[in-house]
Amino acid sequence: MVHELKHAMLATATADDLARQRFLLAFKRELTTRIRPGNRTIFETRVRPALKGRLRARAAEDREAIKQGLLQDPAYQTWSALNRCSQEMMWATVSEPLMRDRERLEAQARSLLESPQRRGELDLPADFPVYEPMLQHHVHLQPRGYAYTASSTDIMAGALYEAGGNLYSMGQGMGGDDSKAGAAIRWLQALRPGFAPRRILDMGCSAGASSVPYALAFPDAEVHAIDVGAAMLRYAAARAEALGARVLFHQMDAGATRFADGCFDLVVSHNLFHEVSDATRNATFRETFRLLAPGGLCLHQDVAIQNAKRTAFEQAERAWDVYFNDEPFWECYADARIGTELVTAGFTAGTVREIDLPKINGPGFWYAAVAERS
Amino acid sequence: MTPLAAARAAIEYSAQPRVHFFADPAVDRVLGITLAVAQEVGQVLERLDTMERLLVEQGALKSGAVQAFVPTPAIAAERLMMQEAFCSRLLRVVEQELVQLRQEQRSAAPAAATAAGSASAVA
Repeated sequence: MVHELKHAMLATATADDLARQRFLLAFKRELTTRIRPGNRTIFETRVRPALKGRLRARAAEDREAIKQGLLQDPAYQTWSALNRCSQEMMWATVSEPLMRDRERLEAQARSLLESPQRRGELDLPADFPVYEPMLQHHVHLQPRGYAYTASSTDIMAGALYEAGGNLYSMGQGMGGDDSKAGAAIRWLQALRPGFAPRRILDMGCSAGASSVPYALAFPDAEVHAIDVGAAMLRYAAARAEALGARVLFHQMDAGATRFADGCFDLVVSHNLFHEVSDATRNATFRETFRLLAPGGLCLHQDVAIQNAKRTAFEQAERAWDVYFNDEPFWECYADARIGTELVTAGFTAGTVREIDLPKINGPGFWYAAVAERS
Repeated sequence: MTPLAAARAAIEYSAQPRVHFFADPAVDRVLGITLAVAQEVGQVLERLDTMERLLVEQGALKSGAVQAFVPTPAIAAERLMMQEAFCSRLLRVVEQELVQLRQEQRSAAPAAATAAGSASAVA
């Protein structure tokens, strides 16, 4: 990858691999910063007038009508085709060094996870059900999806997630080089100086990019991290070992975990909610409430794309990812009233806050919902 | 695994359902191929940059010497031919379509001439 933390679980990329990745990063940045803003102009100059010609004035401001109108515009088609193509190319490009190094990385993972000096744990129950939504949808077009597991030694889902994830986020201008956990930890330490949670849970941890910073920032805490894909978790656990962090990884559904009531002082998630359905998100909030000890705190961070603050055009334009980047829950997350949902899950209204979480490498903010268990 | 096998394996592993945005999917296909070429050009640019920097570092080249290089008229002429050959290869599909059109025109011409000849003969 172009920018990332160095550790023993990364594929060896040649100078040519890195050059191809940098090309894609540059290309995606151009698309995002110079071409994509033109979608608004396309809407204002061609799509809206055409919709107004065919529909009543109010219907021309309808999100669904705008989506259809945009897709028929040749300039929007060009942006769409380039955006989709660059995303597909990104995965093919980061897959190449992984394909060359696959066997070495699998062996490396085995040796890290079986080492007598290992710090953490990896808990993969044999009877864990296949998590269908994550197999059907290849989120961000990640090859075969986050939950794909080819064998009992497979690590590809996690390796791809890490290799592609940062490049993708940076290309989107969404701060791939920003530490989401770092932003949350800084904010929590300002809120509660001297905060020393004994047990921390990271829900929907993927490759453990956020789990590791919690383990390093709170060395006396027991950090647990859960997700649904075995190959993803195997990679996450090996990566955490390679970085010298003690994290206990478990294959669990965030909406129905196997932990006891009230056993965590801090429950967090990072960029989880735009990847799960309304039902799973609400189950996760109920589970958060159940798992927190009295006085405990949750912080659920995600991208700041709340539709309540956006025009119909902005909502329609942002929904591109739903259809062409295999992000089926992007729009229902953006529509959600998360503060209200946390209250429905059991939290007292006065303890729930929705905040702009400043990025570490600003400018800009993440969205976060914070609640305390009284 | 050879670089060729890795490239092919990566393409196979990362295959997604094809989507198209233009009325004719061929346009999406051409765009995809063009973008792949652009990515390779980006990689070549970096290689050249690396070569230049290594040569400067090792004292074989003065910094800025590549940009300051002024070709003699003979070299400039050679280069122009090189660029023309490149452009010909680049425009292969357009040119070959014209070649085909001209061949059709030629093979149709004698028949047309014969037809015109017989018509005038009848008249």
